[in-house]
Amino acid sequence: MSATTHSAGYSKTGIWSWITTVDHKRIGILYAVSALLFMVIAGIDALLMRTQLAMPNNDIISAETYNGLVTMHGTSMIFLFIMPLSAAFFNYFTPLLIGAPDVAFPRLNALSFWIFLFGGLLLNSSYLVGQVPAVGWFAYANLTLKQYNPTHSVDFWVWGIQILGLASLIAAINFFTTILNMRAPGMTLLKMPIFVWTTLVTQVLLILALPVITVACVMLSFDRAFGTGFFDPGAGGYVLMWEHLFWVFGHPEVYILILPAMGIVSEILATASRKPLFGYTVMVYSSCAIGFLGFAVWAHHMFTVGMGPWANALFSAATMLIAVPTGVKIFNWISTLWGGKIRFTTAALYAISFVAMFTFGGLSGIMHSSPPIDTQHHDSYFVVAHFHYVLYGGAVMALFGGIYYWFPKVTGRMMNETLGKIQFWLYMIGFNVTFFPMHFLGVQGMPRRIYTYAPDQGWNLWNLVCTAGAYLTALGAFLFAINFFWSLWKGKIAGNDPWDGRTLEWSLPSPPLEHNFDVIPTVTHLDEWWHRKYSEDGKRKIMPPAPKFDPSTIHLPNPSFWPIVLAFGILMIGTGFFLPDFGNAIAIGTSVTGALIVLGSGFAWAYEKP
Amino acid sequence: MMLDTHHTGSAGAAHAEAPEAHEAHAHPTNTGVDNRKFAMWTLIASECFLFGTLIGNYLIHKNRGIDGPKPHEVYQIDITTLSTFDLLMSSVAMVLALYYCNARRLRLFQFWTAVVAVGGLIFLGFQYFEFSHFVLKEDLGLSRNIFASSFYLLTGCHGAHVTVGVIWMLAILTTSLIKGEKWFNSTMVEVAGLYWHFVDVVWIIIFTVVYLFVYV
Amino acid sequence: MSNHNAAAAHSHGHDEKAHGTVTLYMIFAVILCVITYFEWWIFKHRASIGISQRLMVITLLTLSLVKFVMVCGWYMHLRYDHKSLAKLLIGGMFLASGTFLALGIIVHPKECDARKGECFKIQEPAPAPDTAAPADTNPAEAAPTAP
Repeated sequence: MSATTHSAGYSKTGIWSWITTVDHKRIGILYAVSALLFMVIAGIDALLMRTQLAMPNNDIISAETYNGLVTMHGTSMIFLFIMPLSAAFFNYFTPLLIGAPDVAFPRLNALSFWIFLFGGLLLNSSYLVGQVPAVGWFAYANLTLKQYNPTHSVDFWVWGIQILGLASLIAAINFFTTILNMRAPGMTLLKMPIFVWTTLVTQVLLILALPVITVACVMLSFDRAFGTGFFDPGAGGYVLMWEHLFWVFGHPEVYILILPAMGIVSEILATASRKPLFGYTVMVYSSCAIGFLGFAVWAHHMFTVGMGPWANALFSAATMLIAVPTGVKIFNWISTLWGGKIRFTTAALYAISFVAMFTFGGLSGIMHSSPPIDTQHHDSYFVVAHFHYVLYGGAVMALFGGIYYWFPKVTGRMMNETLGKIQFWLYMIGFNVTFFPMHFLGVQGMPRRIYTYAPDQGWNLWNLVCTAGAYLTALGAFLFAINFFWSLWKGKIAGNDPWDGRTLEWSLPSPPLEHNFDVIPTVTHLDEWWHRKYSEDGKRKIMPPAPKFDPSTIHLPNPSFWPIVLAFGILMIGTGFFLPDFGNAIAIGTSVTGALIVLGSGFAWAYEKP
Repeated sequence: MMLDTHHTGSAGAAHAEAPEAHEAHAHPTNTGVDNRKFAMWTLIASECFLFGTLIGNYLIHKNRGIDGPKPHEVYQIDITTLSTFDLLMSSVAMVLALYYCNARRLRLFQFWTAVVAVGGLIFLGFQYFEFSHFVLKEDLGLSRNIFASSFYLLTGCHGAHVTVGVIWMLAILTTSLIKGEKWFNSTMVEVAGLYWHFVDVVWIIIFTVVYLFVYV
Repeated sequence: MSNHNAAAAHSHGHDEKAHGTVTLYMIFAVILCVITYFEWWIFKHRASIGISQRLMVITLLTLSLVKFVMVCGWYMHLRYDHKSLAKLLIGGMFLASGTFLALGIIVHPKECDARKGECFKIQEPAPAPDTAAPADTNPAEAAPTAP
């Protein structure tokens, strides 16, 4: 059954095969594993924070350490957990969903992963040298300038973000090209699965927003390394420029975080309800509208800086406007469920909880969109509640749902449903117990980013409750790990199509063969796989036998060593900026060597057989 | 009817009619545009935001230097106009290089590719001259004032892009010199050309908005 | 079927590359040179031709736009390529321009004279003798305030 493909000369097992892989499925797995490991670190950060805040006047953790935890928790969860886990799904499933044999640029795909991994390791190595960035995940100037943060902690943040941004940009160009150029014959844009659409919009946001943070980070690293004055008012610079540039990137970034999750939810709900997604076309347009409007609302993070009434009013209006396509999606999901023969699998539970939790988060969000109200909310725990509802109750729940949904396809085994449901409820209850009281704390005036609080503020009870919830959530995470590993070894064999799915990946074996499709399907419908299985009146069709194909016609791209080498060169370039303490020669030498490695491996890459 | 697919283009039915025209490249794309060309245009869209940020930042800060030289005190528009000509002419050379690559005229292809590289090097020479003049004679180092920082960041970034382009051109030239008649990789040359033209277009904008608008 | 269409697309694409001839490219080159010279000339002689700053800005921006369209449309072949590529470029430019125009408007303060270094400074600079009379005065500037 397996084809003798032309890369058969290369070993498929062992570390080397993983280091040199250019197979999008393996790269997806690498992303997922890395993301989950980074999640554990960021989760421990959170547990430490919550432990410190459980009681007033607590002294388990110092203020400086607490600030470092806040920064690393936020930065890691966003850039090292949600984004790479979403990338794992893009990587694994985009070619399968569009009927393609691979992504447009397989080696570039591998490069993105290695750059990401090195960036994440760089950021986390700040722990090892005790110089953890403590400036918040948004690193506002001018706290980040050398005079206020003389150690290398901020450099870890800046270079971590730069390198991670590069990884995402390269991947975005790759997936954008793949989706628009490599769909199976007959798959017009409006026959693509909805997850592919949200992936596409996400890539557009990445492509356009990342350059802005790149420039901002270059400016910051120049201010720190070369004494330019971009953010130093004493030198004529403009402190708020950082906030503007950061949020011009930062707001599309939050849509980058949520859109893939929305796509996953759409897929799961349609499959679980055994009905097509309600209002597919409207969902597509809403996703595009959200992406486009996402560029017009950035200053709603800056209502309190004093931009003036006109700016505040215009951004407020745009923010309220963006709630419309989002609300449309919520109604469409509910309508998808309505009247369906719903199977409440663990994945379905996660997807349904997304709809509810994201709505909660959206409600607090729409409250923020009014500048006078936001002036009360800003920098209080009300905002913390809001974004955790949309990011955790929203994106993370959806991603975990995606894991339960697609685990059978990736591994060939089902995850344990009983354990899964227990774990889901632990997450659900734990998450709500942790974050719902934060609304109250915010209203009661508890500010953000404080490492302790006085006992007479009236915040004691809710803080204790929040901490209890955090531990419950951690228990859920632990249970997830158990389920994950148990299922890998002992899970029920899944077969091709355990959920009676609607999209093309379920037509393939679990796990799919390296070349994906023996024969590229010709697509005639949205939800093509469903239409092949069922006729219009819901009756099961007789499927024709798999068509014959000649295995020797399939050429797989060769594995390559150069992506990891090139990624390492990029890491070296960034590392040079940390080394002036050891002498300028060493610092410059490191960066230059890194650049030469990039150049050399680039040439080797260009001339090797793809 | 099932379509069988090739990952790398050994001659399949789809390519039987024009086997010599295009080197081995991927299966047909939905847009009809080669993946690499499509990806380069995507990169160009991204770079719009990169240079947009840099140009925007420059415009905001150009007159906000607290002390030190101001733009109108240091720019030498005559010389900058010459470098603009040079880059424009290198763009013309690029188009001709692609034309002769398609036409399979080896020596002309190589000649015009070399002209592009030389044009890029001359432009970089102009930039080096301008920067060293500013730093050594005009007391306008990188950190002198916010105008200087913004200026160097913008033009330096552009110069870095030109440098990458020159390296790319030299690589194409070297490969052609080594492989000769066997190697007319039109798609690659076209993609490199797109990059080069984009770098030129950005300079058109910079020349106008930074230099010619020095008093605005 | 689809194979044939693909082949047709291929050969069509091949013809399109022949759209530009060497003559056309050379003519464009000359035009680009002339436009650049004209831009330089306008700038250099803005005083003697008595052009207002606003008109100069508009003219130079228009000329740049012409050069931009020429290079993108013909040298970069956008005129003849699949429409999605033009959409990519124009979309990117549109969003970028809009974003940074908005940013510039928000950030630019209204009541200070940037040229005198009045904006975003912390302390008053000592009155410097050279701010009143810059070396290369711009005679087209009658009013001292920013436009």
